[in-house]
Amino acid sequence: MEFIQKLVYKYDCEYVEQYKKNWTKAKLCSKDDLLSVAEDLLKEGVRSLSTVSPTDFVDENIMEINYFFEDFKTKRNLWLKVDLPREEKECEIESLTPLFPSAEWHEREAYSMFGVRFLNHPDLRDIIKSEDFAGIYPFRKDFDWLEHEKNTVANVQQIVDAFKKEQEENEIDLDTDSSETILNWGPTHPASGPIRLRVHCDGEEIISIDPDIGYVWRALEHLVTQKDFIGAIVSVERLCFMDNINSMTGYAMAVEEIAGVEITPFASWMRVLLGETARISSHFMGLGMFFNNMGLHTLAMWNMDTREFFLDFLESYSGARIATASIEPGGIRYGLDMTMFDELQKALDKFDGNIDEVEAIFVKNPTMKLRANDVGILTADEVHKFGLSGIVARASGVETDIRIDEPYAAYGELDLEYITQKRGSSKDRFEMIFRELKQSVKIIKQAKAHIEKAVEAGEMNPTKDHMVKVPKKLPKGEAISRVEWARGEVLMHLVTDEKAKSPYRLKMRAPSFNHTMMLDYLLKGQTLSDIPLIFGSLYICQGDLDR
Amino acid sequence: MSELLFQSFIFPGLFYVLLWTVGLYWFFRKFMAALHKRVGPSFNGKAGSYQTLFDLSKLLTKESITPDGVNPYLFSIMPLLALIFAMLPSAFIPWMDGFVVVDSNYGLLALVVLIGIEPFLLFLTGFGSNNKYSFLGGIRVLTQAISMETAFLLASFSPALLFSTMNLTAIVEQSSWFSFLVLLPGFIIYFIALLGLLEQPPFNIPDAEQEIVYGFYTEYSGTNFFLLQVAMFAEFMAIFAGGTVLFLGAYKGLFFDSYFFFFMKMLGIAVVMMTLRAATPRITLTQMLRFSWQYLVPIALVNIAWVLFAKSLWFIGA
Amino acid sequence: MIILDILKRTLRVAKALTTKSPADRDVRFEAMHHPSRYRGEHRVDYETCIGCDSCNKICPTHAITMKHLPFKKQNIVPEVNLSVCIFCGLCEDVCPTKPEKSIILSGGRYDMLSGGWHEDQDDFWVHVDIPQSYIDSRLEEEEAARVKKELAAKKKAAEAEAKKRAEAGEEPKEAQTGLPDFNKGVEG
Repeated sequence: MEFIQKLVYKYDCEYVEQYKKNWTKAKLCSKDDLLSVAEDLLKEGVRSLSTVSPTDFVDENIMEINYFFEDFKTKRNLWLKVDLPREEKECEIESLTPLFPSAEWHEREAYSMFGVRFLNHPDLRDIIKSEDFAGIYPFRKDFDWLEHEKNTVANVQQIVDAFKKEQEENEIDLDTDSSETILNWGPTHPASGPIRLRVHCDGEEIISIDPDIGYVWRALEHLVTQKDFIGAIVSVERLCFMDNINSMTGYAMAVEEIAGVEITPFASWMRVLLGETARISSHFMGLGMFFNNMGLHTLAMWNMDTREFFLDFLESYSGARIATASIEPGGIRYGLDMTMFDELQKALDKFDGNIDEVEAIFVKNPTMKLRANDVGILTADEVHKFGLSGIVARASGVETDIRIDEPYAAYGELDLEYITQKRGSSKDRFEMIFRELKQSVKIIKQAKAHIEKAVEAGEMNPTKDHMVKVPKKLPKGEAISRVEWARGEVLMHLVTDEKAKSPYRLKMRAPSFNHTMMLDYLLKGQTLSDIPLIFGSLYICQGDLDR
Repeated sequence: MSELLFQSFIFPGLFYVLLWTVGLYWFFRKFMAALHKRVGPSFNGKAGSYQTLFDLSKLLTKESITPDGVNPYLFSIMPLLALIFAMLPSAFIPWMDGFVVVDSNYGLLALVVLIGIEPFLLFLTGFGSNNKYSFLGGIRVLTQAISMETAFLLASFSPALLFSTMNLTAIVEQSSWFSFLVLLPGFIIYFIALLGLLEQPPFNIPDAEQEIVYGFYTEYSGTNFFLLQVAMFAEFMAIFAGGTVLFLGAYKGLFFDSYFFFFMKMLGIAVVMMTLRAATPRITLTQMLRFSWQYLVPIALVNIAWVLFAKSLWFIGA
Repeated sequence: MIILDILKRTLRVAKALTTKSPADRDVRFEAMHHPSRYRGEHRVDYETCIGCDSCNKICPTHAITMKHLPFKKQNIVPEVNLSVCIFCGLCEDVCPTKPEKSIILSGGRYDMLSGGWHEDQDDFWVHVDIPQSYIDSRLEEEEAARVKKELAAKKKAAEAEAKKRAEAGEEPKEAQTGLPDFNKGVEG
């Protein structure tokens, strides 16, 4: 920590303070110092930039930008803030992309949504939002959504015109005598989900890939500001509703920090149990998706068989199978009836009965090894440079797991260890998902035994201990929270106003954003058959890609 | 004349092929479902037996959309030609004892040539649709067919070498348990090559849904698609029947000879193919080419040497 | 050798033929799993609803519309638009009625089917059908309560009037008999 604080003290700062165990929070006085701070950080060994997030303070006429620098090796992190003037013509700052390549798409998103211009950015285009928002910035506080939605027909016409213009360029600008062409590996493709990749290929060999995202854009970060703190969980859980519980946990932790509320031990342990159940539900689908993209559907079907029993437990507890809305600020939403653990035990028994078959047939499959062992290799250095996290990072040998680095919600009392693989190919990422699945089941068994013991001994009351009252109006403040989501690291940054009934700004940093950025890098020179393979192994979900 | 009409329209002609399509499609779906721990079609008819009939006849009622800019001859006439060429080999196959539509001394050659023309017709369908994905699919079909055809040819000529005749009824009459054992390596090579010709896993590269949308089937809908599907199943029938006749002794059964055993043997090959389909993912085009030319064709040549050696030992005078 | 590996795995996959699939029911008619907390179709109880408007305020998608009834107090009940509702259950959590809440999703119907035409989609709501007898009885109650209140108010006003007069003057009250005062004006 001292390195970072000494480093930042060299420049003019409004304040520098310690925030939680691993973070330093600082605010620069002048935006021209940003590049020098970044260069000094690189020399110190802090190589990853998690995200770039502007906050629009319309009353004070200031746009505040937050930078989150992370170091996976020594766990020293820096939260840096800079103020910018708010008018569109003056709202500009130096881009960090030449020094930190992971900032490329995050700066594009800040530009598209807030209008902050980044000088010397290699490719500053619109991202996520559709073409009818060209030139206007929807997340600014003075943007009128209702007015924009009134002329729907003109908006749709704008989108169609932009698409047709792009198709004309594709067909005409390329040399028609050669075999080069641009394919739309597109939104209505059996293996892609709602994302479009513009594949520039020569016969079957790929020259470059340009992803076009935003087909599932629901503007969740804006919707959250329209609801109160309890109602916002239904927006936060739709980050990707396969693993909805961990993202709700991150949001609830940020609200509890601002309100100054501590949750009961029973709620902490239940958050662990429910979070691991949701992670299992997501991993089952990820395993099946990898093999689906190679043409074998048996694994997906067998996984669905076991997954249904875990969803039965979630349905008995919360009333819904997938979008459960069961974590609220202050604890968990419903009390627990101990008979529900019988259903959980049935699911665990079925899992133990099936997992050896799955491992022998699919994880050690020779044809899959033939296809996936040499494709899509990511080294540990690239993980640091591009800010990857979760399974993709651990499969390349980097030891980073938020459940162990910054423990939250009773993870500090479990015995966990890092699980890593060495090479970082697609096959290693597939094996990582599988090993994490087994680790999650071990954690569930530990948590279940602990809760049962504590309830019998009378220390926890499952029907009354689940919720602590959180005040309806929160004071002014801000907080960040990080959770280990199924697909990577989710960082939530919450800002509240004085006597606030709803959040002022909630930034959700999604891991799939950085992973999709890597597609162009990984697929240069490969063939068309490798696109679904690598795409499936990076464990991307379009829900959190677009938010 | 009436006999010719019966043979071309009822058995082993059009009606037989349609019945075979509906029945085999239902069997495939139920068998795959059992392997996947699912149930499969179960609502229409007892255990879903009418389901595939409804599905295929629904295709006839849908609109056959012809996209802009296609080559009209290649797009619309090719499916019909593909179906006719796929149904022709069944005229050369001895279905029952003493029943064969065309008894010629070059039956085997006709079978192999007619089966080998199919992929070219399918490539032309892909070429004629005005679509990049169909074109890629067509090229993949051609590449795969050329590689697998060589091994297929070499493997299917080994019974002809053993029995010194290309007449299919003569081959069936002379086959026995012992000749089956001698021809076993040839049968295994024939099976692997048939996976390649019929585009089944692990060689389902031209029909790779996840990579090139649907290959050369992409632009087809309605009656055109129905014709292509029936052509695919007719090809199944031709190749399975060819394998049964050449290696497994056609209608020869345990205590008596009948068509029932022929059908059971064809179904046996289908079951093995389906189980393999549920257990193997797909391989890429370059890996398939390497496998075919570096391993399969040399082994087929070695097999021919073995068959000639066995003939000189045990089958003199055949 | 790779071919032997593939064959071994094929045989293991074929073992799945021996297990029976757990899908043995026609779920159009009976559900596989229907716990008591399942968030299904809403059931609104108009008799216990106190009209506090909390469910409307907390609904994240504004799916609840309040229906006005011709009463003075407790005169709104919720109606839910099922095309917009996301079945989060927050309206049930926040309802203050005891012992049973007035809007319940738990254990509700899972087969909410509308008709297939466009007109059916416009009417995909949970409506509250209040019989005329209930409206009449509530109106009567209100009328009776109003009349009672008026009488009680009048009585109270009369008592207050009498009390005021008793405090204001110590003169003997002849006015009780209603006859004039014969003794007045006789002095002299």
